[in-house]
Amino acid sequence: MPQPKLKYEAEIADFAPGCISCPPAGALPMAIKAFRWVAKPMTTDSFLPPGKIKPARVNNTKGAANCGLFGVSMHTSRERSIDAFKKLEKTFVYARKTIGGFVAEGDLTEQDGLCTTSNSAGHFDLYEYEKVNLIDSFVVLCEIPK
Amino acid sequence: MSRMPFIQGKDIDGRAFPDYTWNADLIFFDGPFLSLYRRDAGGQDALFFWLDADNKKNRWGVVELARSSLRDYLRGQISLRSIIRQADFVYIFNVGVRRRTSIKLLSELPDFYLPKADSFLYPEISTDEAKALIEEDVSTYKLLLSGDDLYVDDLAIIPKLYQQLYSFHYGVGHLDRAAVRDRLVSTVRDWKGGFSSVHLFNGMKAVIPSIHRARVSNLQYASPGHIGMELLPDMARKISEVISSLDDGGVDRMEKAYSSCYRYFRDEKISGFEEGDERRVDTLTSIQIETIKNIVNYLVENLRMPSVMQAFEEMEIDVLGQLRAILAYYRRLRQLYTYVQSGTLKIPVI
Repeated sequence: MPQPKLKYEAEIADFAPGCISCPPAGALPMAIKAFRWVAKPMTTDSFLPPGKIKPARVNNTKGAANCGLFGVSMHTSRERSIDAFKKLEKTFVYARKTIGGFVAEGDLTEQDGLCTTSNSAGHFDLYEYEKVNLIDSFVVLCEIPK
Repeated sequence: MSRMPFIQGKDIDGRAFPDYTWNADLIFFDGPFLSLYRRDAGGQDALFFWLDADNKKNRWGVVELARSSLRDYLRGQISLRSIIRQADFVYIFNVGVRRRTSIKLLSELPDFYLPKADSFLYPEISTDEAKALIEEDVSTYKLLLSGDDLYVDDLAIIPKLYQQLYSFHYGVGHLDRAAVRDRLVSTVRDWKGGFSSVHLFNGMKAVIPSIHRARVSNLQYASPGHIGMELLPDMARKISEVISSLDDGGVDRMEKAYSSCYRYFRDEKISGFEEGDERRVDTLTSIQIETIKNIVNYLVENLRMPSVMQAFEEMEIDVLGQLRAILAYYRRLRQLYTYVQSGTLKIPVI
């Protein structure tokens, strides 16, 4: 069966020449519980990848190719999601302004997109398929303690 | 989103803001939070750290740091707060639509933006690339010098040639780093305005962070003397292997191949392609492409650099790009090897 089209396929094709694998090699459809940092209330913007967020949180004004700009950041557990956020906030004291201060939980299905292999901290990126609307699959669990 | 506070500081014209080359994102969640850059003039490492945002723009800070501080930060031994507090100056700028505005130079970061005392680069938030940067460590290595016929310009040329070869091998060996891969693609494959071997070597150099750079640690010329360096031992090993490939008649084989290669280009009326020329592979005949492919294979085989061929293939660099890169590399290698042949320089095997 042909793989469904990615939601941001055109944007990815724009910057990623054939030799750069995007989504990264090893990204697969997965049925998995996922946890994402969001603002409350959630909106469709809560699930935009960084390449689509306005204003874009980028520092490279020359626009370096970066596959990660079209993946949506997730963790594999609530604890890891909260732990990472707390550590992030030690360096970026206004982090809540840009990525929200709540954790939302959702059940990803194999029809939602391609998930990268989670790293040792339980973090992975989801590259959504076209027509997927993640807000329907996620609910806000709690505010991340300050 | 609430407004960002006004920052007191010296206004900097965009043209006066130094040029920095992106090296790696160290913290990245839905976009970069902290990125490692290198200043083009002078080569200092710099950290670009996210500070704040409103509905129209994001605010970033920039701080330059010493090699030892970068290493300690990547190892989780010092905090970003201590790096910022030790810095002589901090830049702040806003980014709206891909453009830096309101650039300011400050002597110190306002307290309300200062990271906390325990603002370390925790493994839970660092990128895989940040972790990889610290996995490789430099060690000491000596280029041995001897003979009475060594001049000041030789002492300038030898490290420069060595550094160019080092940069090349670093690039080939670090294609997993996005900055390296992007730079190689743009200088060897998607170049505009003609290929430039200087751009190739300088481009590679620009994406090597200080902790991986070959750095002269001491210099002793007393016949015998040495140029002491701190560098990645794997790169030094690769260079010494290639130098060894020129021993025992290897250099004669390479010179013969080099000359016949240029004779072929003259005969085929495709000479002059290696510097500044914009010739594309689709202007060559299939026989010419096949011949160039064989030339590249022969050169790479003789230089015992199979990893270079793998890198070319991985980057989808066409035969003309491969040939340009390998000839540019060989010209520098040959120049360095003349010092080895004269007995002035010895490049020890690791």
